[in-house]
Amino acid sequence: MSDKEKYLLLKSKNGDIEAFEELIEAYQRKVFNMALRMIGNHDDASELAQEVFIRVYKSIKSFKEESSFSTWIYRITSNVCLDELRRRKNKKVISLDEDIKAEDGDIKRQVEDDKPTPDMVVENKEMRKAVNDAINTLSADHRMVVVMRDIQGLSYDEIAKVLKCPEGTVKSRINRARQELKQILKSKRELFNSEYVK
Amino acid sequence: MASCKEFNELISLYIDNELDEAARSEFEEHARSCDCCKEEFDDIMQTVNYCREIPEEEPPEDFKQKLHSKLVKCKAEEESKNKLLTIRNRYIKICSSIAAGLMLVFLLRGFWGSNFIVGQSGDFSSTQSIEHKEEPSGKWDTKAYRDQSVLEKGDIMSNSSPSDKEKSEAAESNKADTYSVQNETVKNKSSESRVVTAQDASKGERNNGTETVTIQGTEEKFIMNFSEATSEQVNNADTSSSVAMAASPKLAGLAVASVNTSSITILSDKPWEESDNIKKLVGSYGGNIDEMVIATTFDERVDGADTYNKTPAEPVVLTARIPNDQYEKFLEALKVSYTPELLSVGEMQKVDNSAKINELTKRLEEVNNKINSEKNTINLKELNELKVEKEKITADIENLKKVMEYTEIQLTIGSK
Repeated sequence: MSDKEKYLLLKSKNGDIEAFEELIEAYQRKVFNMALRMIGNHDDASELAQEVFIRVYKSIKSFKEESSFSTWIYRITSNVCLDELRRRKNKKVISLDEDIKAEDGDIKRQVEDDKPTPDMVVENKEMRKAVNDAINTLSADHRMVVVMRDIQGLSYDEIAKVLKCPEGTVKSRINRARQELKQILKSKRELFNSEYVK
Repeated sequence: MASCKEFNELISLYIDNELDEAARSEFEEHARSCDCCKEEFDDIMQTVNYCREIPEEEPPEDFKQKLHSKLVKCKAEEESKNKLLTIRNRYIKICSSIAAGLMLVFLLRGFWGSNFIVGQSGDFSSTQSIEHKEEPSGKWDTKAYRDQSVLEKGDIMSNSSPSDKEKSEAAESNKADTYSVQNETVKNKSSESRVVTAQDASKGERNNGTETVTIQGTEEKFIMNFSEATSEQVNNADTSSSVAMAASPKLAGLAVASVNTSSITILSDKPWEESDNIKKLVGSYGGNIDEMVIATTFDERVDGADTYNKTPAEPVVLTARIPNDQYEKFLEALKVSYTPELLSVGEMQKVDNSAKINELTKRLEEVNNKINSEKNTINLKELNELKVEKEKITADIENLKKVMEYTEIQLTIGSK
């Protein structure tokens, strides 16, 4: 932690909002993107990232400089995201592919199609969407490590500190998560190819 | 490389450059020789690359502004909460000093009060007990055997049981009276012997000293539990000086931090039948029976066998609990029913709960602080665990306080 950060931290601990905002400036993008990849949509990710920083602000007095500030923020982010995912799990989620039940038979859902038309862009965006979708189907624990390692670029050691678990656990979890992700993408690709042939 | 399975487990470590030189070349060697593994590796490498290519996105434009207004709101809330806390703390400080003062007055009065009780008690015997038992576990708890040794009556003054040491602290102020009563015991009842419950040090039991009169011979006890929870609560009580309690402002809110215990001995031709009458009497004064011990005489005990010979004249020991305000009335009723030759009332003992409550209160404070300071940083599961602990401690404190509203009586019904 640089001297400036230490100074800002001290001021933040005394409730100085401006100092706090300056302190977290560098983390806003990271936290937002982590929430985005964990939750899957911009609006919710924005809300969650704000929730993270409110929690950081509320508990900054209890932050001990034993761990690094970024690890601490990531830990709070992961907890906020996991809590949200757990909360959602208990709620019923309506699938867009599911037909609406009506008295005189089922009605097809009409959802706005946001696919762009130019071919190159389509291919790129399709692939990215497929990866994002695949990530969203991973279990919360696997999603968390894939996001931290492959999207955010955290080291094994950092991830272990954020999740408060041994590095060995992180290593095996990352490997399993990647294999699961690979499997999902592979079956999607096979499905896509068979439809294309038709 | 031993197997493809092993190769599979190392793929991620290879991608992340976490393998040493030797393991790396071994890995590459295997990939060259096994098409299946090479394909698996390529697929995972490609998946990782897809993830790495996902671009970082900017937070929405209004992100900072929204966050700022939330922070301002949050700060205002925290400040008003802190103000309230300061006022509350000041209020608690004033109240606790008043309560501490009042309690000191009550305590001083209490010492004279207990002298009065001692003066009335013990025509021919004195019984007293402060017990700390392990949690009762069943209806007929055969584990509850206690080694007992019989001491001659002369031992009453010279021997001190393990509990005496602890009792002496709590009962220091009326020590003189205690001894005078015990002297009477020696004089009046020559046939009596004193049974001391030996302390099983290896089990870590404490305060197991029990003095009872009228039980003779080597005996084993079966303990029958009527109410597991309450007996445990009382027995959890830690003994310490009651004066120290008055000096602690934290406990000032607790007017009585001690449990009253007393011992009563009744002689009857048929103790077992007499115990039914006593139970009814206890019930009629709003009390209840927590525990019943039937002391049985063993003819011969072989290798821990559970056989015992139940004789009609065996003594019965009841642990009864009567509301504090009903205790004197209950005593009066006993005195009406039994002549002084058959009834003896031991002195009132106070088992101090303050240390236990103090300890629980401290822990509660710690848990509360932890919840307040870490509620934002820990996940819901950890938070729930803390909340469960908080509830448990609160319940324990409540139970301890509730127990204080009752006087615990060791009722021994012996044969004439």
